[in-house]
Amino acid sequence: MSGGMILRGLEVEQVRRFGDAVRLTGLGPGINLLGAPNEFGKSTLLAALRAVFLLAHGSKAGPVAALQPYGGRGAPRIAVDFTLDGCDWRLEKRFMQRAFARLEGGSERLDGDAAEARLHDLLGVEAGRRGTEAMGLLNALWVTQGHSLVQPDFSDPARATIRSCLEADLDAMTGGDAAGRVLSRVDADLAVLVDKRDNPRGRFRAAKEGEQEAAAELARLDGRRQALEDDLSAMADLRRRLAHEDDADRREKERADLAEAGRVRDRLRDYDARYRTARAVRDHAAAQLVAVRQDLAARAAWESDLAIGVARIAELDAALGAAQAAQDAAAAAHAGRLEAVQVADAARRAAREALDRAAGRVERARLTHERREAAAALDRLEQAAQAVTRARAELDACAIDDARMGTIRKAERALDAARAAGRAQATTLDVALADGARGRLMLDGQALEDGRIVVTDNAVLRIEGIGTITIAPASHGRDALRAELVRAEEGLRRALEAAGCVDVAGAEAALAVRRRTELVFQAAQTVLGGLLAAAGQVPATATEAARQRLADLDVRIARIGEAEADGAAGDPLELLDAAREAMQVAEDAYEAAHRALLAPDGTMRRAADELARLRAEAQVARDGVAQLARDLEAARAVEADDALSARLAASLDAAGMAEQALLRIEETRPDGTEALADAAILRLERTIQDGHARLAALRQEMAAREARIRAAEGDGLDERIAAQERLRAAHAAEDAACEREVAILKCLRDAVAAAERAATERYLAPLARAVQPALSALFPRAVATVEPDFSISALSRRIDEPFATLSDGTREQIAVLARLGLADLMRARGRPAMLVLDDALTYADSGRLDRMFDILTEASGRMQILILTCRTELFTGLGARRLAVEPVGGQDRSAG
Amino acid sequence: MRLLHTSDWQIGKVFRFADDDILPVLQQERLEAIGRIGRLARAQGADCVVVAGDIYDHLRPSERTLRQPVERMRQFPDLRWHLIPGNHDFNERDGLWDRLVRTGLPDHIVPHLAHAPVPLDEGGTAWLLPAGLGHRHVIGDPTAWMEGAATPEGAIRVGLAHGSVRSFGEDAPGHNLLAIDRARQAGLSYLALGDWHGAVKIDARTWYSGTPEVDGFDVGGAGGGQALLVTLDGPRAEPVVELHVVGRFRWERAQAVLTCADDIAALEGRLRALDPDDPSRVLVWLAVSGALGLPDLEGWQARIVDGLGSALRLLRIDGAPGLAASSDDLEAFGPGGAVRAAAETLARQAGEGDDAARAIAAAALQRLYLLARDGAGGVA
Repeated sequence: MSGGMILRGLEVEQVRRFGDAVRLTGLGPGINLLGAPNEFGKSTLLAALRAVFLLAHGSKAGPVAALQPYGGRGAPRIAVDFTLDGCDWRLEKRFMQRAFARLEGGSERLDGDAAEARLHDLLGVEAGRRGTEAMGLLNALWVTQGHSLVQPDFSDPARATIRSCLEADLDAMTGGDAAGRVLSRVDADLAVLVDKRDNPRGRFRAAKEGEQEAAAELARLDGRRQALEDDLSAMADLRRRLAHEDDADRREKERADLAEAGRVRDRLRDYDARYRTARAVRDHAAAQLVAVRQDLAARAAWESDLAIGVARIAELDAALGAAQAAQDAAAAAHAGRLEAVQVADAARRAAREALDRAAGRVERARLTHERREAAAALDRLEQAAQAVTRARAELDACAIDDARMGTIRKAERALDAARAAGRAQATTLDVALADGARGRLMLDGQALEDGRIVVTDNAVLRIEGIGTITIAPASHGRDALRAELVRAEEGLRRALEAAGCVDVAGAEAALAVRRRTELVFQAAQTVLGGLLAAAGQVPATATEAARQRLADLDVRIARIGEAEADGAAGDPLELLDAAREAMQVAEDAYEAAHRALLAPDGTMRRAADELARLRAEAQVARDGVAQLARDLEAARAVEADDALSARLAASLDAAGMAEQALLRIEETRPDGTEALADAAILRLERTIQDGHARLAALRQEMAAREARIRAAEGDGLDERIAAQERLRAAHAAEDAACEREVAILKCLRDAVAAAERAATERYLAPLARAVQPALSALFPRAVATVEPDFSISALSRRIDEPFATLSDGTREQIAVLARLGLADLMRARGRPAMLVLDDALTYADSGRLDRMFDILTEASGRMQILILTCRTELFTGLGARRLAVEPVGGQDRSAG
Repeated sequence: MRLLHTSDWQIGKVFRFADDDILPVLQQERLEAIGRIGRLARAQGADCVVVAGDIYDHLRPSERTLRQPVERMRQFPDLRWHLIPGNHDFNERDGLWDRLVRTGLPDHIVPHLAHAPVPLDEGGTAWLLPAGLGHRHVIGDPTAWMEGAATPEGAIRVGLAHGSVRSFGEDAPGHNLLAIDRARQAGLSYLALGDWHGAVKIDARTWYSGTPEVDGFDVGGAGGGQALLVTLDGPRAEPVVELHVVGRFRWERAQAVLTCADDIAALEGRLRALDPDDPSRVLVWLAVSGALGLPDLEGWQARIVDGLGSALRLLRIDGAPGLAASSDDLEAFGPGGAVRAAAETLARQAGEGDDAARAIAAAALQRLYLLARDGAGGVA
């Protein structure tokens, strides 16, 4: 157990449930077991153990406050006795009120912070911050309840401790710390140049921005230089144009040209005036000449026209005579034809009258025949109507009919029945009269004859002479029979009365009469219906219509009869045909005559027209001749023919002279036209005027350009551009340098980081080796994967199983093994190592548990192991020291 | 007569590689050179200073830049300063020279903007034929007119022009190309040329003066930093030309292949020897190659990059020594551990892959070495 740490005693007072001082007794090397039920305070004891070693006595922070007794304030006091590297130590601390710390061992006795510092040195831990536990590997090895499933979470000092332990195991340094320092230095250098997103910052960014700004400024300056050069170029151009515009010779020449153009125009205007005058003179002379010639021509024409007119009149007079003769002949022929027409017309009218008469006769014959027919029809109609009337009267006189006859017969049958019934019940009297007795036997006053008498009712038989015998038929219902008989007789009597008959036979005869009468009526009605059928009228209307028609015919016959007074013999139809033929002949004759009348009419009209035309023409010719003669006379009165001839000669001379004068002027005509001369003047004037304007504009523009040039050149653009280019180049160089620096740092960082990773992998091997024996014992053929943070991430059996997927029991066992391995490593490097397991291994099955016991037992040979459990029975097979908690009585509890 | 020939002052020039500390110094020194020229002329009894173009580096300098050289020349009223436009400061209409004239130049500062002879002295014994440029690139020879330019019989004819007497291949077409024998053709006693930045004698009568203050690492000719004192005893007499140093800074190109600590020491010695009295007058553009172990790389950083970089006015370095990490180097990271493993990884990366990745890995290894050594890594 050399190099190990052995806990020998632990006292607590005023710690949570432990108000009074208690001491954990029985502690010693190897496995120590404190078995106690829940709520006993096992975890409190572990908390106290951690606190005394790891918490600063002056702290009043949470972890310390959590130690205070339940339900009250107090000053937790904890003391511990332990052996480290063969030296016995006692450590005591009180927290909160009157806090103190004391560490005693060997010849050393330290108090307060000195004690804390020495303790940290002994344990190899670093002071915690703000009241938290000091940080070292012990934290990881002392597992509190509920953390046994979790692998140790190492603080930085813990990792450093482990790493140094592991590195010591290697032949050479891994240089992990050195690499870490290099990396942090490189990262720091890199952070100066680039931010976390790898974007440039600091001077790197300034270089990039500076380059951009310089480039932008350069572009601006280049633009200005370009503008300046444009201005200079424009200025040179302006100067050239100015020199051109401002040339004195040129301007003088322009003025001379203008003057010359003016003179040319004046000459042209002078010529033009003279030419116009001469031409006017010539035109006037020519006009005079034309006038004279016109006068002469007019006079000759008049004379000629006069002669022609006279001759024409003579011709027309001759023609007039011929035309008059022709017209007379035509008139005579027309009169003849007119007469022929009149004759034909008279003949035609006579033929028409004859035809009309023939037609009248034919019509009369037809109407007469028609009247006869109508009279016969009327007669038939009237007779038929009378027959019907008669038959109806006879029919109306018959009172009997089939219904009444039926009633009579029925009453007769009833009477017969009543009589038969009476007789059947009656008393029969068979009379056989003695001769002579006739008349003497009287029944009800009626003399009896031989034969049978039927007495149906009370009867009195008087026998003359003898007396009377009253017979009362003893018939049952005699009265009823009698009444029936009376009713039947009465019924027959009334039926006969209704039929107007005396008896039944009469009725039968009357009915036969009625039957015959009905037949007669029907026949008459049929006849009348046949006559009326065509007319569809009632008899009275039909009769009236027939009478009206007869009257009409009579009127028409009478009319024709008036016209046909002269009764001609012969067949009217033949006469009519002859009249028609005569009529046609007369019509044809009239037509021919009429045509003959119309045909000669054209000849006569032409003759008349010709005559009228000739007359008008002759009149016009006479009027014309007269006018001509008057005009000629008038003209001669004004200017005699001789005078006219003289005027002609004078006009001819004048025209010749004027033409000559015009020709002479035309010979002096200058070149060009006035319009051209004007245009030239205008152009020259404008040129001169524009020249002034251009000169002014040029000077103005030059002044503006010059001002701009002056303004720009003072800036020293070229120099500034050169300076800016240098600046840009400098920024670019700086940028490149920064890029290179970043590349170098990244290259370095990558190389160192990779090397550190590789080294870590190398030094993790011992940890894996340390864990491996126990692991193999628990999980045969399993290999653990250890991460750079010393956690076991997976278990490789047949396949890789990530830690998180393992069962609770397996994870807990691995966590215990990992701690065991670490403790082993520490112990092997001479570091204090001691394992505390609080309520651990409760998930293990009995087989695993046995093996864990073996492993722990084996490890306990090298280090002290403290097991706290509430299930003591599980650990009976462990062969551990049994610990107890005892009150501390009466002894001095405080070192103070 | 005596005149001082100079050119290519390039006032206002901006050096891109120079940082904010160095740039103003370099620019300032170009102005200071004017004073030195003036004093030299005065000391040597020169009558005038002819400046053969490119007085300004930019066509549109700031007002201050425009006036600064004038103010320097103003301090020498006993000297006449004859100026012509060069290709950098050509005579653009409404441009720099118009501005300059508008500022009201003193009489002894004479810009020559027209191609016409002007007397150099009151007696008219010497005439100046100035051929300033009117454009950045002039097609044709701007000195051609000098042949027909009349000057009094027996006068000394001094040509003043800016351009190249030689075409530099097709990429540089013959702009501003001057006839190489213009002095002979035009009967010039002396043709003072500008444009080339190193002093060069073309023939007995034709010289480039070069820039008075060097402004680049590849100046050519005499290397720049000079002015020419020209003595003309007569129109036919061959001019006597003396080179005088007026520049302050020395610009050097250097190359080094570094494979060990000795190489570094040798390089340091070589560069410090350029101007042992005042290394701050030296600008060096160093092209370096080779490969070093980790401690030597640290030495390179310390002795050359940091040490010489501070001593010299400017140390511009192209390339860097590669990393040749030996097993001994790796021992510095300890016998084992993550840092050692990382170093081995980086050493391997520094030896494989593309150049950029190798350089990064080498730098990372070097950084790791420093971190480890400085205790960040806690290396024993």
